[in-house]
Amino acid sequence: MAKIRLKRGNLTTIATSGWWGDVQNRMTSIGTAGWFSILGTDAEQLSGRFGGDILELQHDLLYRKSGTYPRNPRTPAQYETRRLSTSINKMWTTLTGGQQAQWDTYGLYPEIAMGGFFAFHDNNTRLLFPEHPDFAFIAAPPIPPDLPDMPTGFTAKYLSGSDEWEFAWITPNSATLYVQLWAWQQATYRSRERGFYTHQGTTRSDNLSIAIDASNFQSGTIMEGQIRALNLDGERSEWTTSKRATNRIPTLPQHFITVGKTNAEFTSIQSAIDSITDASAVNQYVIYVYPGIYAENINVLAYIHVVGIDKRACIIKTSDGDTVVGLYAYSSIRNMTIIKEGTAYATCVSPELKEGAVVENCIIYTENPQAHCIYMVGGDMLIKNCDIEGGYTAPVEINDEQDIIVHAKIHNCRITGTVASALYYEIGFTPGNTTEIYNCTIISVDPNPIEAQLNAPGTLLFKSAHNRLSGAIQGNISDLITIPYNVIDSDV
Amino acid sequence: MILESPQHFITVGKSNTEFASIQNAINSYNDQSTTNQYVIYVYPGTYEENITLKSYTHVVGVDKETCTIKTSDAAGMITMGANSSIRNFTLNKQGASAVPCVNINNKTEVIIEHCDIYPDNANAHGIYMVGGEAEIINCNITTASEIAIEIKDASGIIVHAEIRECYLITTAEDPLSFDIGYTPNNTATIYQNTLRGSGTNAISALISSPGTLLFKSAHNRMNKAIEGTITDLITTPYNVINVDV
Repeated sequence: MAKIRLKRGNLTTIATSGWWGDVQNRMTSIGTAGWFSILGTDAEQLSGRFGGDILELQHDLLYRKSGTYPRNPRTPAQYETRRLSTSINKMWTTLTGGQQAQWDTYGLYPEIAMGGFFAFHDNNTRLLFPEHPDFAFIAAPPIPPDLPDMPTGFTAKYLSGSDEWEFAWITPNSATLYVQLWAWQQATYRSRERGFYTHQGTTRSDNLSIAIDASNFQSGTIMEGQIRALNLDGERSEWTTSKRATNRIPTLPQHFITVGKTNAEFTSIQSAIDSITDASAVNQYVIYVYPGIYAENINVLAYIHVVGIDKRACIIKTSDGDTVVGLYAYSSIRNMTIIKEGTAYATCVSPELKEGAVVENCIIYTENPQAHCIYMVGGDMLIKNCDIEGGYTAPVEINDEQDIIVHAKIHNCRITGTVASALYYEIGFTPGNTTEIYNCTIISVDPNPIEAQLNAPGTLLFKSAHNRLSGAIQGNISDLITIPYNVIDSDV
Repeated sequence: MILESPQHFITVGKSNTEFASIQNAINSYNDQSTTNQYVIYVYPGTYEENITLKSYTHVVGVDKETCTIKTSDAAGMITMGANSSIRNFTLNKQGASAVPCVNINNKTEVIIEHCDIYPDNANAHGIYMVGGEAEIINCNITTASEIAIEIKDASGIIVHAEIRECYLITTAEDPLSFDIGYTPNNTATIYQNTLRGSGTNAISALISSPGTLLFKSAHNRMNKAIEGTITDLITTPYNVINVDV
């Protein structure tokens, strides 16, 4: 756990009350032309009905339009929310009775419950709280005429050894401020996780801390601490500033193991993997593979990264019936050529049910035309910069299963199906599967280089753009990107 | 191009390596073949030597930014062989000689990948190719009054070029040019590049019978147009053509 702690600063005047301090009572005085925010646990309690523009708090403490909620609808209810929230561009109170009834009906779907931190701008909002059955917004608060001075001298420091961060700042004496500390970290291919600390009041204690679970983050993760202030001039409240500091997590303990035909610690990649007993998010291992042909099936365990020093000369190749490379959670294989040779019906790379697996800068092919290059059943994987070639069976196949969701990102790859489609989806069990295909060249002898079998209740959120395809995408896929700039041409 | 067994690896570097000169490493063998390929790994340093790659020879720097080849005499700097590759290098032809940094002279299965290529002389090419078959991938090529990549056929010699994910920058010429006039069915595939030049076109072509060029382009960013005589086989290439590119 990485902790954030507040250093005692000279923040002396913090408001004890404000309209956000009692959201529920203030709801009726929040306006239509201004905007309204809900903090902390109040938001967790909130479920409601809304439309129009929705602003979302960004990590730099600015509000940005977050699109029409929900941005990525997964269920019929969410699709309906999205449709209605774009189609009704009026305040709820100005709708006809029929429209209000329609609004209320879709608003009752449980999926519309919100959590976290939102603001609604110029909206068609009608919010319900458990304790407050029904109301709509009215008048907007004016922007306060005189804004207080903002805090200055904000610093952030990582305390190596204690795994904590220390923040300090200077607050002008005249300010009436609401101070919020927000730290988050984001890894290259992972979702953001953040700790959240808010403080208001005239006194405060030392070493207030928020905890962030760092177990899902890798070395190089960026952590940020942020501070912001609100003017608490009575009802006329407005965000006024934000401060931000960025530090990169210091280099984590690094472990490098070499594998090679000579002059290396191991001659087999799997032996190197098997020698590791303590890999974790903060104790990751990189196995450098020197050029050579490695005739072994390998299982890359969690938080282990197998990296060839030259993708064209570092080759893993086997001919038996087992998967050549099995990827576990948060593992990766990079800069390698991966070959399943012979007639065995086996897959080159399989990350079944594993989160955060990465295949990057690899050449992957199978000699058996009925075998996959990449076969993914569930899990979350990035496939980037790879050359992939296969035959009768689509070289890349991506499936969901009962209660097992799949998320596949394919970037900047060349995928060639020498017989059938090059990329095949079979989705039929869970809603909310996702895929994005960007900057790829996908070619097949089959008229459809990408093919999808979608059966309810499975859904696939399909995003594609800037690809070169030898033919049309087949299947009932609705591309979320409306102008994908895919080239579809048999001469590709 | 996959370098399968048996493989030979030779290291070149300023210390603790088998050779100090890349060409000496190449000259140390003569049994290269499709089943006997040589990979020469080059450690960081500046190598002041012209290099002629044999066939089935692959010269690979460990880091593009710190592995540099540069020479200033009048000879060509890098001359590719058949089934050869050069990867992860900075290639700088210095001095006044108007010779290209890389020469592909009717060699097949050539790969030039992940290199920064720039001649000092304003009248020198980055890559000059007369016939052969080459992939130029992920390279930054900067020239001045000469074309960054010039591609030609010749009598009885066909040319196939695939250029992708490159930056071709030319300050006083077209960044990419084809001069085709001898053989039919020359091919060019141009994907995902950025081409910025000060000539008439971003991509120009002089095509005269009996020469033909099967031209495919898509997803490129160019500050000028493709010369009108080229017929793009791809109907919707989504090239961005904008002076601000």
